[in-house]
Amino acid sequence: MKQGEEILDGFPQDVNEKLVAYLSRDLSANQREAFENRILEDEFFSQQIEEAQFALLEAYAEGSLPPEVHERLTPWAASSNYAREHLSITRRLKKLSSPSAHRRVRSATLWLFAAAACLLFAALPWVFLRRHPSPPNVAKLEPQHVPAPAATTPNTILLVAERLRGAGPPVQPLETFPIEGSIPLRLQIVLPASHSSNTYSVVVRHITNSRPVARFAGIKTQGPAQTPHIEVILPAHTLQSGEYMADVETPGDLFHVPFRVHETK
Amino acid sequence: VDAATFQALLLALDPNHDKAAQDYRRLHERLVRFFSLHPVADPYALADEALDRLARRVAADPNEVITPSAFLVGIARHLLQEEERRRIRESKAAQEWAPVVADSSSEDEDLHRRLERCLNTMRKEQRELLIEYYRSTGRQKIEHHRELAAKLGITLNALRNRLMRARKELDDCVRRSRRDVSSTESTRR
Repeated sequence: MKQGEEILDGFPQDVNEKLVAYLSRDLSANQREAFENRILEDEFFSQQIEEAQFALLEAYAEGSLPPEVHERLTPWAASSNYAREHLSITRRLKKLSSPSAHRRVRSATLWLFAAAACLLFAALPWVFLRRHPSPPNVAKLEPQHVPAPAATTPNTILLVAERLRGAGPPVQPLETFPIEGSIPLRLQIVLPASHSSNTYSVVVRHITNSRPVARFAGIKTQGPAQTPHIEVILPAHTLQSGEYMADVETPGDLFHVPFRVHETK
Repeated sequence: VDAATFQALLLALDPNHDKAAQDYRRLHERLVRFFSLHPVADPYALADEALDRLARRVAADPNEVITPSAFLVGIARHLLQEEERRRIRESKAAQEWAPVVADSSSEDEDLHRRLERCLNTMRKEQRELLIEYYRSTGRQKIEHHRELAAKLGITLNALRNRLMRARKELDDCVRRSRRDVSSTESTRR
């Protein structure tokens, strides 16, 4: 596995080999069991496996694994949703990063430059007229109101009310959602299946000082009965980077759904 | 699971609430890693389910579960078997439905659209790192990554860790957008 060693450098070779053997089902039942026990019980080993799996998938997508290893991993790569998704994203990223994609960007930049030049040329007479004051008897135009650009597609945050069990403090790490502050934010909260026909009120508040930033009432559930969800739209700039809690209430039930947002622009 | 059941699990993990919360999070991460090595539909959902089952067992009889992490191994294996049976059932059904399933090119376009949207929501330096990291291929790749690490003033290992974090954020975003109910509906329309 010489070539593999170079590509997967930085990882203990025995971890790579064990992982390949496990994924290609080359371990005995006892060995498999021992391997699984370690992943679930040994934090350090579990992290090593995650890193080695990442490197293996990257090398698989690159086509740089030794053919024998590539072949052994193919049944797993084809049947695992996780692996397929990782490989698809890597391939897409490679396409986006490829020199041809950059040529396209450069070409688009040139077109933009050309278009800007045309606009400038077209605007020259107006610039010329502005430099020469209008005669006094010409009525001045009122400054025109420039309409704000139309709202773009809102950010979407999907939260699951089931994840916080009961009214206790949050125990899972808060999930961070990147948002663009200048556009509205759509908050979707998936509810337990038994809640499909209820009406809810939603209060979004800061976790630190409990200060509410938005309130909604009479929100009806949407979607199929198995995965009902409610949806509210927060105007642009309602949330800034920070930690928030969505209190979702219906008669007899209250969910606290924590989340964190990070403003990217 | 309800709040009392969940509290019972936390207590079984550690009497200190904060420590128990950390243990819970680590167990969840390990379960996700374990399930992601297998052909399952959603490693995260299975990790949730495994911990829910553990919580119910602990609440039912705290003396039965001496070492929660060891107990979890059995639950995880059991879930994997259930998932395998479900997969076999679904693959039989999928064969019957194969002619009406959307072709892969539309899936590819869908992924591309989601990926670009997620990239645009990431921090600029993370986005640039991802694009830059994947620029070169083959033998040039190693040299390119060395240069990139030198440019950022970090080691190759640190570069790889940064990339892994950025990829995790990107992959999570794509995964979330796929689970986004509305966008799924609009895609189907």
